[in-house]
Parts: sequence; structure tokens; C-alpha cells
Amino acid sequence: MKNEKLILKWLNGDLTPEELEAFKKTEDYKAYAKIADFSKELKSELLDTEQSYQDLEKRLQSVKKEPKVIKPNFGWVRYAAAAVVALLISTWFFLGSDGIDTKTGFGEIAQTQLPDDSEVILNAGSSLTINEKNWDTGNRKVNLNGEAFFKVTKGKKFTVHTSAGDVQVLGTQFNVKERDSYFEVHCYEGRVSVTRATDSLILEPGERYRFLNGTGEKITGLTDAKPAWLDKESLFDAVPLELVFEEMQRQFDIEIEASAVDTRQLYSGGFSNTDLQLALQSVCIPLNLSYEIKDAVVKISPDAP
Amino acid sequence: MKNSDSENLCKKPTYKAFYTSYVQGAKNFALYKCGDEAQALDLTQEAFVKIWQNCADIDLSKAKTYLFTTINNLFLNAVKHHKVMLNYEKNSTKEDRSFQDPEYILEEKEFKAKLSDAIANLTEAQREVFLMNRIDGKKYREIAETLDLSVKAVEKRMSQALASLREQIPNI
Repeated sequence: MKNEKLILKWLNGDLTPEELEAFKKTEDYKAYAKIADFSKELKSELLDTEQSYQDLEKRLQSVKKEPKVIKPNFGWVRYAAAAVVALLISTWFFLGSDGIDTKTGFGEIAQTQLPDDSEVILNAGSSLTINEKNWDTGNRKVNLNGEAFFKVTKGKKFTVHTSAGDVQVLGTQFNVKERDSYFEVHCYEGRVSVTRATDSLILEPGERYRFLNGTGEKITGLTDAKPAWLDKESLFDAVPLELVFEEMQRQFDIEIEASAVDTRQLYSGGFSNTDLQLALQSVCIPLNLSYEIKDAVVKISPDAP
Repeated sequence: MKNSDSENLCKKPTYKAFYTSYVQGAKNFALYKCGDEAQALDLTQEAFVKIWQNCADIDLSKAKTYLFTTINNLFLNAVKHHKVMLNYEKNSTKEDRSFQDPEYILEEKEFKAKLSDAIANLTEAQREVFLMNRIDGKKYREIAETLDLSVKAVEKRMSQALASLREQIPNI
């Protein structure tokens, strides 16, 4: 680089006025000035230090000071002590590894709080396990079976593990739905990273990833602020009818018999999670189906022509 | 090494003062490394947690270097590294100038895109030093002290960064 010394001095603001005049006359000046000026405009968010300190305080409360290693200076006792400690730790591990369970049955919604104050709302027929012991070591990981809405407090990495894939976030709001062949993640706030098998992608607010019948797709530009089921409604967007019926079974604790109907056809729309009649009407009428309720069994059949 | 004097990081007021003075710079440093605001803040907070955990063993005069070194280590241990693309300030003074002909505005836009791409292609060592100087307006001496480098090393990284940017954007 020509004029290296001069350029370095210039960027450090150390040039004398005369040197600066001379430097401005060099042929490279314009180019370097442009690089230097525009790179200054790159953005770094200004922190609210008071707020971020409060957040840190919360985190500090959950960590312990690093344990000091005490070395006893007398012979065999040391080994005996080590053996006892090892035994204690492994027992604790066995007893403590069960974690916390939250489960919802048919038609239920449950809200639970995680050790870091993150909130989870579980939709019907879902279960969530966390391993509380691991939270201390900074491993925020939960296992989800079913559907849940997460409001994660800012902090360390947070992972939702499902059989269909992993969802990873820092601090955000999102919904995860995993039902047999269906996997859906909808990001409402913050950023979410979704990993399925070897694929991974990032979701921004208003984006949804869906994996169905072997293909994944990302939809953008969604405007809802929270999942519909929080308002006791189930919404679908081009979802095979059988999955819609499965959801209805979970919401109302009924059995749906629909063998006379092509359940692979796609349904877009929603149903109320509180009124079975209304729910059945909203699904059946647009698809020209009729239904019959007998005890806890609903029989669906095509409309008579 | 134990601190016996009153300026001890284990004391909350000292710790908080230390936090308040350095958290912004530390977060920026992390941002220049990882390119993601949320991750940058997370790395920074985690480094401060480490400092709290080891407060008795950290000399206050070395704490700043310890902070940046810790962020660096935490970053290296973080799983995924992706391309570091920063955004431009939205209402920058440059864009405010009205009466500009569209051609100029377009050129400027193109240049900005090329520049942030070129910055993303710098080595991590070059980028962090370059951006600490440009965005944070830090002097080489200050950067050297923060990152525990010699001023010579900082200068070398700066000129490598510049040369690389110049080379990547040939016709300015």
C-alpha cells in the first residue's frame, strides 16, 4: 500500500493540517476517504445499559461462583472423599434427571413457567419436559411433543427439541407445532433458527416454516401477533383434512370417523375450539360434507347429491 | 492474585461501574465478530457473568482485557459462524442531502453494498480492529490495550484491512 504510514495516521486522526493537505492531494485519497466515511455509517445498536444490567443481575442470581477446589493434604482420605463425592453426584444425577413435566389432555390448555421466567403455553394433547438440573449449566433445552407457544426471556441459547426437528432462539416469541407428519414453526418476535435433519434456516418475525409430506416451505409476510389457538380457535392454511380432524379430536376429545371422505384434500380455514357443532359446521359446509354426532363419535360423510 | 484494596470487582458498585463503562464497547466488539445483535449481547452478558464468578481473581486493571479476551473465547466456542453483514444507519447524514440526482444515489447504494460485503470478507482480526476504529472511533493505542496487542499489530491489521477493502472494490 502506497502512503501506508500517512493513511494509518490519518485514520487515527493524527495528521497535522499540513500533512492532511498533502494527503488530500494524493490520487488514492478519494477512494480511501469513501471507504473510511461509509464504514463509519455501519450500525451498532446502542444499548440501554441500565436495562441490560438488570437482565444481567437476573442471570447472576442463577449462577454460583465457581467452586474453589479444596485439596486435603493427607494421604488416603483424599481418595475416599473423592469416591463419596462421585457416588453422591451420580445418585443425584439419577434422581434429578427426570425433569419437569407438563402435559395437557384433550381440550386442555396449560400454561407453565420455566426456571428462567420464560413462558410456555401448551395446546391440547401436548407434553413438555425440561431437565431442570441442566438449566444451571446454561443448557436451556426443552423437549416438546405437540404444540406450544413460547415467550422466551432474553438470555442464553434456548432449544426446543421435537422428534421432527430442533428450534433454537435467543429471546423471542414463537409457536411450534409437531404432530406426526406435520411440523410447523411460526416466529412472532425476535429470530428463530429451525433445524430439521440436515437443513437449517432462520425465521424472522412474521415468517413461518412448515414441513409436510416430505417438503418444507417458508412463508413470509404473516401479520398475526400470536397463534389463533390462544384465542380458542384452530386455524389452517392449506392443510390436509386428516390433520384438521386430528386437531379437532384433540380439542374436543371425540373420535372422528371419516373413512368415506378423501382426507387428503386440503382445507383452509378455522374452527372454534369451544363449540363442537360450530366447529364441525365450519369445516364440513365449505367442503360439502355432512356430519352426524353419536355419543363421542362423529361420522363424516359426503353430502348427498 | 487477590485484590485487597477497596476497588474490588466482587463489590457490586465497582462491578456495576465496570459494567456500565464497558458493556457498549464490548457488545460492539462481539457484534463485529458475529454480526448478530442478539448473539453479541448474549456473548457479552455471558462474559460479564464469568467476570462475576471470578471476581476475586481478576485485577481491576486487567479486567477490561479479560472481558474482551473472554468474549473472544466464547465466540470461538459458539457453534455456528456466519457471514458478518452489518446494516447501515438508516438516517445517516449522507442520505439526508436532498437534491441529489438519482444516479448518484444509486451509485452510493451500490458502493455501500460492496463495502459491507467487502468488510464481511475481511478476516475476523482485521474486521474487529477496523470497525473498532471506524464505528467506535477508537485510537490504535486504545484498541491495542483493549485487545492486549501491540500498537504495531493493530496498525498492521488496519492497513491489511484497508488494502483488502481497496482491492475488493477496485473502481471507487
